[in-house]
Amino acid sequence: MEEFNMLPIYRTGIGEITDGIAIKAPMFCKNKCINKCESYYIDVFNKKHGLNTCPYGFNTYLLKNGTDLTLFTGFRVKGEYNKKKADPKIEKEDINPVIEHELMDKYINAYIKYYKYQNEYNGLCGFINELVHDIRKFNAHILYKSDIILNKAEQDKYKAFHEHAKAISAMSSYVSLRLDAYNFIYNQNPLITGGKSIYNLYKIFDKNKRCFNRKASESDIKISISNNGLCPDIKAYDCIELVPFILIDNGIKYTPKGNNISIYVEDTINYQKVQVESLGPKLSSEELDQIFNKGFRGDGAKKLSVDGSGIGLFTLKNICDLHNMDVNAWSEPKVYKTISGVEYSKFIFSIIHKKMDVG
Amino acid sequence: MNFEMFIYKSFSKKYNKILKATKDINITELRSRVRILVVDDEEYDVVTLLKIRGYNVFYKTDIYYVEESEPFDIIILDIKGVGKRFASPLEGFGYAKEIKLKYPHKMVFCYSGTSDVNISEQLKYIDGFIKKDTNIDNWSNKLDENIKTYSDVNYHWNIIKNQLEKAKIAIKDINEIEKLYKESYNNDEFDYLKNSLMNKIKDANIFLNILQSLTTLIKLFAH
Repeated sequence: MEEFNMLPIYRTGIGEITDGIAIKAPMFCKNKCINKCESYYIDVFNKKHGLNTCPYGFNTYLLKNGTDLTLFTGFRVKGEYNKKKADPKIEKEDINPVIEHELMDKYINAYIKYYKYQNEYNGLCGFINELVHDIRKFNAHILYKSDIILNKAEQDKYKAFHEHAKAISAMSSYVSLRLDAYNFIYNQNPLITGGKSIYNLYKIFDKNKRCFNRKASESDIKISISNNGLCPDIKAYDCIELVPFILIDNGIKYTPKGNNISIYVEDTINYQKVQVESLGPKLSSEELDQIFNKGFRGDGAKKLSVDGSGIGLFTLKNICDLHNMDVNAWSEPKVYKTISGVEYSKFIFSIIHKKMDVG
Repeated sequence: MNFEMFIYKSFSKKYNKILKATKDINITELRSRVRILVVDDEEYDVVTLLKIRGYNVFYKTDIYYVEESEPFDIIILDIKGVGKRFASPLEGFGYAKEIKLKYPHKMVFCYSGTSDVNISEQLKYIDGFIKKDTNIDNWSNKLDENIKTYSDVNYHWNIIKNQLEKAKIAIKDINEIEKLYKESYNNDEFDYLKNSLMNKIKDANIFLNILQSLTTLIKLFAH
């Protein structure tokens, strides 16, 4: 566990003193603690919680925090330490000022608070990890059961079952991608470990379009996808699936009701290009320059009552950089609509994958 | 030999070579030959779906000894709930690392719903990670990529070369062994390699490892 100790701490087990942030243990203490002071430390650990003075005149403080014991050592509290014994042992290079009792109390309280918050934070992290694990586990059950239905139920005879199973599969994929987006921000390793696999840009955009159909229809938004013919496979990390997820999710979030999102995949000799076009809050050229910055939201987007933390496009840029893909955003100056004081213009995202990077 | 027989034998040899080449890169064929073990205390449906797609997949709910993975080429272990006997805080991942250490030629993956930072930092010790709710198409893509890698003589040679370098075998000898290794693979012929190895390698483990990797490869493509 990380610590936030202003005072030096004696580490049992390894018999060493680690410096505090404000007070460094004197070299004298660091050299002596293994041999001469060990018996003193053993004795102190059996004492009550509180301040003591070691045989060499320095102060120690035993903190009992539940079942945890922390021993601060090698510092000097005014009026408490043995000046005659300790002062001659301080060397010129030692950062070991004499401190007031009140300051010592503050340092120790800060340590206790930090320890408490660390524990709560670790507990929360543990809870979230368990939760995400369970969600993925049950999501996997749902996904595979629906795939089994798709395999076993003949399409002609059980058309309704097929359609429901496809919808379940699409929703399950949506949940998975939502969790991937969270994962990529806090721990991207699993999404890039094991090298690249085969992916098809058109197919992953098409799959995401189906995942978002329900959400899009709630806002009466139509998503269309087309291409100029063949779209060969590329090699990419697993996180590539977040690219269409983020773009379509963003598109639905900011497109006014009753409008369209169109996706076009173009394949040429030199590159593959994906263009996502929609209506969105108009951005100035200054805002466009910052659109991929973490936490950025344009003024127009802020006026809308939609959730957004400015992480999505930042994540998108990171993923594109990982794959040496160029990503650009363009907001047309012409205003198409104004709704509740927010100006909307045509918004285009384009992602270019240069073909020399294939394989 | 008369002329017709000569022509027949020449074309027959070429025809067989072409057939072999086609068969070698046929992923459907490879799927049925590469043995995959999935270890998961709860999830069986993914195994069903992989079998439908023609993979030669086996399933266990848990693993007690690293040696249980020996008959398999690719091993995929769940992290949570697996390897309780091992008593590792990393659960199934602890086993995964040990399998990769003991059988460096085997491809070892972990799959999980968790993305614990402690585990993800150690993923470099195995061949990869599959997230638990990966759809079956992605499972298939990943497995096919890795089956092709596993079936490639260069993959196995690189592992052996690493071991030879660690054992401080001279570069000249390593180059010679490489040549013989690849020739043995192409010709299904062991003798020259075996004799050469006996003179150059004292470590029995490395010696056996080299021969074992070759038999694995040859078995994959045996008609």
